[in-house]
Amino acid sequence: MIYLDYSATTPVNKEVLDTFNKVSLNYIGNPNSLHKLGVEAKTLINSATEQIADILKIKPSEIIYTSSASEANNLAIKGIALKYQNRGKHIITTPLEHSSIYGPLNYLSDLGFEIDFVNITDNGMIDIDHLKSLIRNDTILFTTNSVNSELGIIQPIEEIGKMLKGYPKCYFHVDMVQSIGKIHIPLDNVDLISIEAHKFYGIKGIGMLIKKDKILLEPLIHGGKSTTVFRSGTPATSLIVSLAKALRLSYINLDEKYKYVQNLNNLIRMGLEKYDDVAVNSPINALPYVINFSVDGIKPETFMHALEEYDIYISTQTACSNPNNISKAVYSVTKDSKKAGSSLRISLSHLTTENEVEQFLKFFDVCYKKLKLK
Amino acid sequence: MKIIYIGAVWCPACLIVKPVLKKLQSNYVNIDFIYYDYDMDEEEVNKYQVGKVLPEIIIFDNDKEIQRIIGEKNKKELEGLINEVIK
Repeated sequence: MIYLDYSATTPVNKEVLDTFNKVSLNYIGNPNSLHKLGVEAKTLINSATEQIADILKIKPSEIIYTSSASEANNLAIKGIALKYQNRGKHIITTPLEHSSIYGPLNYLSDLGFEIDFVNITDNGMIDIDHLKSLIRNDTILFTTNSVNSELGIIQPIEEIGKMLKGYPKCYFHVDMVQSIGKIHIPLDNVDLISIEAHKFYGIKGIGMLIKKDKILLEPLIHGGKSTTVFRSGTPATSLIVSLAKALRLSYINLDEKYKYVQNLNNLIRMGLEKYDDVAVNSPINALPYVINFSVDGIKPETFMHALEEYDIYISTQTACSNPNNISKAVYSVTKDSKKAGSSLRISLSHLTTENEVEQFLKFFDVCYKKLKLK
Repeated sequence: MKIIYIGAVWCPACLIVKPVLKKLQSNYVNIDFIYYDYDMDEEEVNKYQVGKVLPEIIIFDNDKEIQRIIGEKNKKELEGLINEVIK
């Protein structure tokens, strides 16, 4: 099997799974219980939380555990909007977001919030001057990703964060799902950050919203205090500890892994460039872990399934987008609806080998020729 | 006459078009506006052969489709396309 869909999800690291199993078996208490077993579980959670905070250079009190990044995105957007709606009902976003950003924004739009889109430059970057021009007295939130999941475009988060400091009523939320564990992004000037473990070899079912202490949120789930008042529910001890482990492991040799994947990316780009009717949509300065491309005249689903016959797995758009819709992200960069409706994504890992890349290119050619002849 | 809007929560263009259509609604008091969600109202949506791009706005006169507006449109464009067929 050649798995090239690491941006959708990553296989769990064996060490992370071992941690999850050990904690599940040995720490059976509810962390909210006052007896010894509860205290032991709570102590372990606190230790994991401190470790996460240390890695990300944030405060432990800024961490809210969620079930996923989708929940973290919903909590950030709806939480800010509903808490601060007396200040204003204007929110700004980009055309390059995941559906778990557009979902809560559509929900809020129906409640009377006004949503604006910032322009994207030809290379897929946020137009910061346009963003400035969109900010109004009643703007309460700007939400973006740090790396777009379809194209791998890296946004200038630090620069945007510094600019937004001049607008203290406008909070800054960043969906960092595709960048944590892959690149260094300073979190100092960001107010809210969404993360999830299964994108960095952790277990599915756990994510986090990092929220600066000064900010309040309207919770999505009301109940007991849990690890924070902003998200109720019995704390998932084993998932939290396994998240800390996955995060720690993902930061080991981060720069070396990046360079290694950049080399794989170059090999794939060179391989795809040989075809006149194959266009690589990801800009050259995009995150090397992601390569988005379109094959003219072949439906992306058809190509994906053709590769699947050879046990090779890539994706069409992102795992969470709707199959019947063209990619707004690809359209924003290519200005070509054909490409936007026919894009495929390869996503790489430090686990991907050069041999796998060679095999992919070999079978890409087989599928290409077969499908073009049809 | 009736105008059927089909959008989805994951659709960025719907964030632009739906509020515009809702604002325009008050200009057309004799037209019924019906809003469907692509995923939630599957049974109804299936009747209209929706394509790859959302949202879709379908204008009916006596149950006959007379205009289909697809994808992102600003207020002026949307108003123009609606006025074109309801004169």
